[in-house]
Amino acid sequence: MKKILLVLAVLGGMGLLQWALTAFLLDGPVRQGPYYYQILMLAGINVILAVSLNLTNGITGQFSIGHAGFFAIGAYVAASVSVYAGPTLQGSLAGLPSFAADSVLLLVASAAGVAAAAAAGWLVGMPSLRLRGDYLAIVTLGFGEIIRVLILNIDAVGGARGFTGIPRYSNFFWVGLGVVAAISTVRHIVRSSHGRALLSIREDEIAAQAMGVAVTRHKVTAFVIGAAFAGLAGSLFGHFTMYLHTNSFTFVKSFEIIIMIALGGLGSLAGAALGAVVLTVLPELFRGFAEYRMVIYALALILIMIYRPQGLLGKGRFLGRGKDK
Amino acid sequence: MTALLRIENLTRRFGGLTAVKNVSFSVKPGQLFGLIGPNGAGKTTLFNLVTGVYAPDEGAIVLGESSIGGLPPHRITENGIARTFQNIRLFASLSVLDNVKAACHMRQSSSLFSGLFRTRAFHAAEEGIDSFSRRLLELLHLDGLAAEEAANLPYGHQRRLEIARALATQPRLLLLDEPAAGMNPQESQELMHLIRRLRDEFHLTILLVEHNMKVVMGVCERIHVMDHGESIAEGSPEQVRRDPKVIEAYLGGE
Amino acid sequence: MTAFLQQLLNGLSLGSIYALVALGYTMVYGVLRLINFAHGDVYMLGAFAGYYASKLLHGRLNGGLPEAAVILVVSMIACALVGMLIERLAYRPVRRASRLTLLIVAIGVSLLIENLAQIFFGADPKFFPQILPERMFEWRGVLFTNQQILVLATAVLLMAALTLFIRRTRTGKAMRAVAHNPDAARLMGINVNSIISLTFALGSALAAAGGILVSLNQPSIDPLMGLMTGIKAFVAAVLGGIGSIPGAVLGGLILGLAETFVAGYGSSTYRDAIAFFILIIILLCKPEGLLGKGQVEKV
Repeated sequence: MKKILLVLAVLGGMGLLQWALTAFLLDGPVRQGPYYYQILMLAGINVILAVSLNLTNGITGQFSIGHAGFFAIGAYVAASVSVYAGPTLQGSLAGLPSFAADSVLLLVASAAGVAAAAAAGWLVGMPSLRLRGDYLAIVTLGFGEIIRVLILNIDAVGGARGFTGIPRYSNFFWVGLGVVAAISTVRHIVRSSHGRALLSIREDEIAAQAMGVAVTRHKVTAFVIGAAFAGLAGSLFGHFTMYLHTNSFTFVKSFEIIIMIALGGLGSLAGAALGAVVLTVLPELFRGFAEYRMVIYALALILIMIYRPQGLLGKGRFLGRGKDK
Repeated sequence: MTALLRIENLTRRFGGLTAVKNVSFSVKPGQLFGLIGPNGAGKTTLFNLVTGVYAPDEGAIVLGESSIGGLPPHRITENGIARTFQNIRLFASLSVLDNVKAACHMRQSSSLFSGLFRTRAFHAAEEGIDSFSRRLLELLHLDGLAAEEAANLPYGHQRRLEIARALATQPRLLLLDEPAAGMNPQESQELMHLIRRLRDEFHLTILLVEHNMKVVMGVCERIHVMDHGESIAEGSPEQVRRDPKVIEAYLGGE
Repeated sequence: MTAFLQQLLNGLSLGSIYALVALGYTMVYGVLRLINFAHGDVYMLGAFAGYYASKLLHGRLNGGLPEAAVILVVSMIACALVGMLIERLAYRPVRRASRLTLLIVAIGVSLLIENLAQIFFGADPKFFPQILPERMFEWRGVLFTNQQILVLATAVLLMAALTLFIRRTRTGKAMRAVAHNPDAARLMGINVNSIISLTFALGSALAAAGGILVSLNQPSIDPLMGLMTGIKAFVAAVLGGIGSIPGAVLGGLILGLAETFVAGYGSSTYRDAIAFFILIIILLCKPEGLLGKGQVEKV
């Protein structure tokens, strides 16, 4: 009963916020309202990405640099569903009011994107998660790039021209729900027996195995859940920007997500969310220094790892110790 | 009485070196069994074979009725063998309590699904894990330190936490890898009491590899001696102590 | 047959560049257990150092081999200094931290160099001067250029020098000792810090040589040229067995040949994917690489 009330409260709150944002930013009195709205949306999408990557990189200690690949799969698959199957679906939903029909379409497309990203996560994770840490990093980087190159060569999704004509279905309501879902999923996992199993893998794989933790299976599970949420983020992204290009999904994007969680503190949930928001908003404040943006990112990353490896909010003792971790 | 653990003609080679050569012995249920031998005798390799870190080249390892040789470590733990590590491998940045809880995962966890949706089964399982873990900590006199980070514990406490963590997997057979290493005489005295108590309270069988002769002779009921990868003697502490082969192995023949 | 020999020659010349860059990865991995993500960027800096050096030299040396040699040496020295600087400023402070921390720092250094280079050098490609006018030779129908020969000869010379240095000199032996066990090496009186510094210097100098040699053949250089080459050279190092010096050379040559043959006989669009394909296969089947030694973690 309490749970149902909670869910209703979240839904209601998000709906109310959506209404308020539309009234004030999009149709309302705030100059540059749409611009702020856009930043808000991108921040939300980045929070989903950072929180989900943190499950693999921070909680399980398996360093993946291929998150942008799953983000891309989610974005392209969901967008394809909307573009190619959308009109047919729309016909069968003709009786519904437009916001309800849009929501149903977004849910269907996102479900496809999430499923595809999760499946890709499983395919990539099964073989590569057996590898030691730094090899895993480079293999995931490789898979991420392979995914991008493959998409680039598919003409039906625009290839090098980019994918246009995607309907704008996502809004603050859905991104907000995505954020809530990502955070509560990761939080519930971490604070459960499964989460302790994942943490034990991060701390000492050999000991974890000796304590009966099926290491590979748990790693793959965490990886697949992370990939699924990256897919969700991709779907929300594509249905917001209405245009996709593979340049948004290079490994620089993966690095960006890593910087977000490193800034917030590897393994810290609030840190990942904070890092994502800060790194979305900050560059907007320093628009004039756009070309220095990546320089500042990179310098910040190095300095954080040297002087505060646990990030802003993390405890991350595991980062500071031992050569062989 | 049938044996709980049977090692039959076990052999393991590393390149040209035969670390364990045709070793056989068996451990009866409830026994305190010691495995000793000078450095390089092959004790650690044997230990790693039993716990699944290495797969045997030849021979069999049988626990109860099932052959476990060559299974991956977590499957062996599932079969009822738990271990401690000589060079302590705790989950260093987790709390003392969470170290033990993590080891409960195999037997007591609810499904991932019920964890996500916080079902009744999840809460029941978590409560079970919590009370069981706290009981283990109490038993090993670590209950005051439950919230402490494992890495911050003093050495002796870390060794005890290793034992608590191993017990959390609810083993039939407990393997202790040099549990007295680095302990002063008083601490090893306490360790011997503890080992006996564990055996009695948990109806455990304990196999221990140990360098500290005082501990081995004081606590073990039966001792198997290895040298250069081969078995050279087995018997009660008294028999082993008098065995000329054992004396030679330890004091050096040539 | 002629076509085959032609591809073989092209593949070897490409492969020897990968090999030069792969050596730096493998040497640094040997002493620090670190994938030095910034290594590909040092290779890029090598090419740019050569570019600016040749501008400064312009007119003072009349092209040809002497000028090429001067540019090569200048760029190698410059990059050796950059490599040492990177190690001193970025890696040394976190050397004792976890490998994860080290890896993140390496990613940071790589991003930093790439973006600084885009600001200082400009993001557009630059044209490396034609120091050695291209001349074609023919031998039984196989065409080769003086540049290809220069690339091969220089690469072989540098690798031979490196091997001699590591096998024969005291410093080289100290380097191997550090790779084997840094703590024991320190106890033996080896100055581990300076050995690591030297390893970076040597690796970076070789990468710079790779950058110059590649620019002689393909004169368009840009600040992101090190990305792909860096990753491919890393793949070459893993293929040969990371930590193994002959392995890096072998891996580089195999990768160069594989790319050339696939591009020559198959489709060139997937040329860049071959490296990752090889990487994934090798890691799944023989993760220690062709000439590497497997490591078993002690329990």
